Amino acid sequence: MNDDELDQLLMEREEIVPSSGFVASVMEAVQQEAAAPAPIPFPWKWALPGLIVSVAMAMGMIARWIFSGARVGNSVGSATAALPVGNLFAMLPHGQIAASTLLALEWSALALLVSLAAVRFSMKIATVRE
Amino acid sequence: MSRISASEDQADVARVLAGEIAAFEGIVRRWQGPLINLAYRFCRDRGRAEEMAQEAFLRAYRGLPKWRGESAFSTWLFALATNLYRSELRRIPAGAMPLEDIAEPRDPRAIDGGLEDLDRDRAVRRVVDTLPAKYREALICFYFQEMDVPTAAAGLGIAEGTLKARLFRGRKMLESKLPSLLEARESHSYACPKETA
Repeated sequence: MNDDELDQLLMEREEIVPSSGFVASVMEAVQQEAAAPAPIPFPWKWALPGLIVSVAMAMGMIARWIFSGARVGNSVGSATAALPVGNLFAMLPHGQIAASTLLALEWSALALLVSLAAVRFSMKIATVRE
Repeated sequence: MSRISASEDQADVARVLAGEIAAFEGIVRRWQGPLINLAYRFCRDRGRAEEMAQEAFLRAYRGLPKWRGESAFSTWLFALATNLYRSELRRIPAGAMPLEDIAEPRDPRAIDGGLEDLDRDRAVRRVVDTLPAKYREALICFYFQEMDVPTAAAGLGIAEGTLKARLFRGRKMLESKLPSLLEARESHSYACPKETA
């Protein structure tokens, strides 16, 4: 079988005619779409300050991990201290609740940013696929 | 598509974007046939083809502000529709085609030989349906666009080279499957001649 024969076989001759109510049906759906209220835009004005604070806290936390990790790693040299979790315990001032609260806030900020990034990423994928 | 249609599309899009929703009807009227037929090539079900085409038009309406006129409206519309049809078919694959769902052809062929052609077309389509999705989609778009590689590639959102490679591979697969199938059908028709009385 040569290419021309295959082309002949694959060329569709069958053509269907749209049903008589198709245009009306589409226009009805379009009218409904147009009449629906516009989606509420994301409140960036209100979210932005919180986002900036979260980013700053997360970056501060990461920076402290790095610096304290290097410090503890140099002074103690233990395998546990070289790990991020080990560094966290090492840098916690004993008996100071404020520091642990700060740490909790930083973790929350980091979790918030990771969640936000995950949501944005999944929405981007969904938009591309549409 | 003709230049007149392209300018009509542009004018209608401008009117819709200016708030005249009824102008979208012109677009639907011009493109309903091609979009439904393209959907039909994918799913082989008339009812579902119309549903998918309606969804494509709805998405086109929503996405009109995103069309910047860099490509022809038809190219944009076909790319959008093809993308939607592929997603839909991956979500719910096309089932086996019941005989009653085969649409009436617009231009029926002569009775002598016409039925054999229809039978052969159906056999060919069944073989095409067995191909992996990427080769099947490439073949559907290529032949739907009357063997226009750039348009078919744009519709699928892939490079022309990629389309050519998929066409080559898909055709090789078909070449290995079709002759035996067609020969088997021919020998079967010789062995079982039609009743003449």
